Amino acid sequence: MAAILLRRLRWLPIVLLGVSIITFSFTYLTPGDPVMNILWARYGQDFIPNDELLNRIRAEAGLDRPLPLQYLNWLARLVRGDLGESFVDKKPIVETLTRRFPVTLRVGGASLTLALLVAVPLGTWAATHPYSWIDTLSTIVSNIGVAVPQYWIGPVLILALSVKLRLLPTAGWGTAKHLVMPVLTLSLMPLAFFTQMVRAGLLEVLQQDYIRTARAKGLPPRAVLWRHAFKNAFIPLVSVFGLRITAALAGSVIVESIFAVPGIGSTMYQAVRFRDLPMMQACTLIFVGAALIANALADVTYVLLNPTIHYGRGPT
Amino acid sequence: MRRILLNPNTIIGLAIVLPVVLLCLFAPLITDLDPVKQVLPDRLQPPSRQHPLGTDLLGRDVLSRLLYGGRLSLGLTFLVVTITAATGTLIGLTSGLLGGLFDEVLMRLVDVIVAFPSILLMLTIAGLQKPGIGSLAVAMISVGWSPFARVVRGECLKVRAMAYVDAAVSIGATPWRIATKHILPNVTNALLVMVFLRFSQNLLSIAGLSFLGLGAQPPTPEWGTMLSEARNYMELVPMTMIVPGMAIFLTTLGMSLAGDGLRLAFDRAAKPR
Repeated sequence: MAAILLRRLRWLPIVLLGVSIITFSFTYLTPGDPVMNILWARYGQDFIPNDELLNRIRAEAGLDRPLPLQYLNWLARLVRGDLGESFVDKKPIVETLTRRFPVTLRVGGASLTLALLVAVPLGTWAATHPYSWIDTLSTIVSNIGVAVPQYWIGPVLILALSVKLRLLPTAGWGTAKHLVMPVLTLSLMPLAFFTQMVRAGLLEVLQQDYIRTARAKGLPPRAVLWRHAFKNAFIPLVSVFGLRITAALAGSVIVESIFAVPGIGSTMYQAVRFRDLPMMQACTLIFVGAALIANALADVTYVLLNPTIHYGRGPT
Repeated sequence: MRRILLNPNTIIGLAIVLPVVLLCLFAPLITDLDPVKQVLPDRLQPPSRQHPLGTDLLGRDVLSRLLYGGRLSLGLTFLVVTITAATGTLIGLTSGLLGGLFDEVLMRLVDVIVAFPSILLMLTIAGLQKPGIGSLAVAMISVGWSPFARVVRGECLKVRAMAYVDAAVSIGATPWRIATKHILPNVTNALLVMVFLRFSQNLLSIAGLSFLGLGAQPPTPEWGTMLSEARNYMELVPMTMIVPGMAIFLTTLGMSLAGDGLRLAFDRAAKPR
C-alpha cells in the first residue's frame, strides 16, 4: 500500500512545482504593468498615478525584486496559508474560500452521487438484458449526456422548472430547492460516463469463465451478480472516477455562474471578470489541489481493488 | 476501409454533423438577411416565412445568426483542432523518438497541464487577455496540444519497440525517415479518433467560454455568445435559447459518435476474432 502510494505520488512534487509556477505567472500574463493592475483594481480604471505612488506600491507588493525571489516569497506565504487579499472586496482570501469551497463540494458531491445512483442500476439492467429497451435507453443516455452543453441545459431547466412550472427558485442558495437544478445540470455528464462504464464493465465480466462456473453450479442470477460480477465490473468505474471529480470541479465554474451558487466556481468566474489576480491564483490552486488529490485517491483505490495490476511498470 | 466507414456510429455521427456544417458553410445561399443588422420594429417575432426561426430582442434574424454564428464556432474549433493536432503530433513524435531528458521534461509539462481541470486554464489564459476570439484561440491552443502529444508519444513508444523499426535503424534510416515512414502511419488511426473527440470537446469549451463572455463579443454571432444573450429574455422567445444550444449539442453528439465509431472499428480491425 505504502509502496503503491509512493509510486503514484512520485511525480506529484514536480507537478505541484509546475502548477505553482504557472499560477504565479498569472501576474505577468496580464498585459500591462502589474502595478497598474493593482492600482486600477483599487482606484478604478481612470486612475492616473504619479511616479512616487507607483514606486511605493511596487515596493509594497514586492514587484521591484527579481522574479525568482518574487516567486519564492509568494510560495513562502502560500505555504503559511496566506493567500493574500482580494483586489475586489479587500478581504482575506482564505476566509472567503473556506466559506465557499464546501458549497462546491456539496453540489459536486450530490451530482456525482445522483449520477451513480442512476447509472449503476441502469447500466446493470442494460448489461444483463441486452437488446431490451432499457439497454437502448442506456446507450442513448450515455451518448447524449456527454454532448449536452451545461450552459444550455441549465438555462433550459430554469425556463421549464422555474419560469413555466414555477416549481423551483431560478437561482440562489440556501434551501434544498436551490440545490436541485445545479445538481441535475452537473450530474448529466458523469451519469453518461458511469452508465457506459458500468454496462461495458459488466458485459465484459459476464463473459468470463468464472461467471459461467458460478452459474453452472446453480447459483441464482442475483447471487452471481452480487457475489462475483460486481466486484470486478466496477474496477473500470473507479478508474474514471477521479477524472469525473476533476470534470465536476471544472463544470462548477459554469453551473455555479448560471445558478448564482456561492461556491468556488462562481468565485473563480467573478475573479476572472474583475481581474482579481490573487483570487484567481487562490481558486486555481484549490481546484488543482482538489483534482490532484481526487485522482491520486481514485488511482490508489483502483490498485487496491485490482490485485493483478503491477503499478509503475512500462512507459508512464 | 469499407468496414471502418460502415460502422453505424460513424454513419449516424457524420449524418448529424455534415448537414450542420454544410448549412453553415453555405449560409449566404440559404439566407440573405444580415446576422448583425438590427430591425427594432421586428423584434421578438415568432417564426414566420421571412424569419423561419423568428427574431431576437434586437430584431435580428435568428436563422442567419445561427448559420453565421456556426461559421465562427465551427471554424474556430476546426482551426484550434488542426493546430493542436499538428503541434501535439510533432511534440509527441519528437519526445517519443528522442527520449531522455527532453522527453522527461515535456511529459512532466503535459502532466502539469492535464492536472488543471480543463476549462480552468483556458478560462484564466483567455481572461487575463483582452476578451475576444484571438485570446480564446490562444487559450485553447496553449492547452489543447497536450492530449495529442501524450497519445502520439504513447503510440510512438509502442511502435518503436517493434522489430521492423530496429531493422530500419540497422540499415541506417534517419530518425526523420523512421518518424515519417514507420511511426506516423501507425499513429494515424489513434490520431484520427482523437481529432473527432477533441473537436467535440473543443466546440463545447469554445462555446462555453464565449457563453461566459470570454470569446466572441456581441454583436458578433457565435453559438455560445448567442446563448448568453438569449438567457436574459428566454421566457419571451425560447427559440433564441433553444436553437443555438441544439446546434452545439448536435455537432458535439455527431462528432463524438463518429469518433467512437472509428475507435470501435479500428479496435475490431486490429484484433480479428
